[in-house]
Amino acid sequence: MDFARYVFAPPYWGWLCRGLGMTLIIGITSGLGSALLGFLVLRCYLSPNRLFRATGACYVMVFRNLPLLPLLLFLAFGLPEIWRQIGWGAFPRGLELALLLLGLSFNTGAYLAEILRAGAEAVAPSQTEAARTLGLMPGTIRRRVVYPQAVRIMAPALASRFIHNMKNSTLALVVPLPLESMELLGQAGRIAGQTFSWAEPLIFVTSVYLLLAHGLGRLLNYWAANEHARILAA
Amino acid sequence: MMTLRHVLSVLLFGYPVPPEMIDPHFPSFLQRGGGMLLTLLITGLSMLIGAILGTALALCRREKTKAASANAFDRMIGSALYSTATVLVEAVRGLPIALLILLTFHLPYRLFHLRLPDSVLAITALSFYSGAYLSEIVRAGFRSFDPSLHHVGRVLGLTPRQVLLKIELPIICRHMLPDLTNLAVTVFKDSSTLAIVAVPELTYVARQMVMSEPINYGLVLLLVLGSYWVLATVLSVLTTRTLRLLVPMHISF
Repeated sequence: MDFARYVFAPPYWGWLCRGLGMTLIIGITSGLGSALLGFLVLRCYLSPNRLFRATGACYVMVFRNLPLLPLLLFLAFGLPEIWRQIGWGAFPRGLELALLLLGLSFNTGAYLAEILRAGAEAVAPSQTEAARTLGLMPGTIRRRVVYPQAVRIMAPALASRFIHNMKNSTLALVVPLPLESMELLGQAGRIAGQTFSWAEPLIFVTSVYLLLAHGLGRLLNYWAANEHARILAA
Repeated sequence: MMTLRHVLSVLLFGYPVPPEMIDPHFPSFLQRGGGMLLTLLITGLSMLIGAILGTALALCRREKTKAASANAFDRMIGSALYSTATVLVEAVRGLPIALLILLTFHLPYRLFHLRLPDSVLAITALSFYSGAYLSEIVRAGFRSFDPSLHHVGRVLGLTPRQVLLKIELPIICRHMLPDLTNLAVTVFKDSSTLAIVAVPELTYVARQMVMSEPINYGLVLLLVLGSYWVLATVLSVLTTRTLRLLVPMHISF
């Protein structure tokens, strides 16, 4: 084990720091994207229109049972191939990162939608009825009554999904990103490719992830427990 | 000429391994096969090993293990087991599956010069993965178990071990079925991550196919995604229902 040479030496240390930054960026951006998607699908679920409800259910059914790695491979390699086959010319370059974020968001979004739906169903229907009796518009009821409580009831599950999403960003390893925008594990692989030594960078990445998962996890769980307690107190 | 039949059979069984690629140090059946069949085999075996590992870890993490015995030595062993299991579970749960797989494939050789066939390493990695998550499920099961039933068993003259095997685990088992099904589907899907270390399961076979035959990668990946989806859906819809029927009220260990 020679951490001084393979981890803390000049080019490699910079790569890993950059990788950590990218991991955080990818994790947070796709987390936000999936939250957006989750709420969109929740809105579909709550819609009186049957078509919207079916669309939401279909999306969840499709993406919850798709493995992430082949999905990312498809977005990165398969889509351009099919694009060319159809005859639309060359696939636009530089979309790798966007497609990666899209894949991660669609994957996590399906789970978040399911969680949020369970939360919305846990809000007592009498509350919605009471709100309607008070003369609130359906949109206002959703924004002021249903959504806040759904998020709070499901806060612990949401927090663990976000952490999971952060961990899922390691699968960016298989996507041909430009070198400077590879995430942590990708950078570790890059070091291994140059030094033929996987062990040191891997152990370093492991410790970073443990810190991240448990540190960030504790922070999110703290938030989640607070929010959850607020709903219980109300 | 490539036919759909050929493509499907490759996706199902993988490519035959050329004899010169088989390492003579290991039994050859561990190095054959691939495709969906290998995916299913790895998933099944690692769920099975994970079930044993997870139950053991959950048992280690019970409060009783830490401080129940009057004997100081037993208490020490108990608390050592408790903390080891806790560290193991928390570590595995904190790591992404890709990292866990890479660690399993690179560390044993680097640290101990231990060489194992890929399929064994793959099953090890996924067993730890499923075992860690399963131990949390089993632990939740233990928590939900009514302690008065435990006392009833003891009063009837059963030993603690009998209470565990004949009363607790059978009851918990039925409660855990939905969670177990979910976990099995998750492990099935996450086994695709083994492609990064070139284990010839379904996802990697797609890449092999593109490299050796004139076929559109996008099409192959769509087929792969489709087969994962169908099997995962069947697993998640069917198993919860059928297992309920198959697992009788009174199983015992």
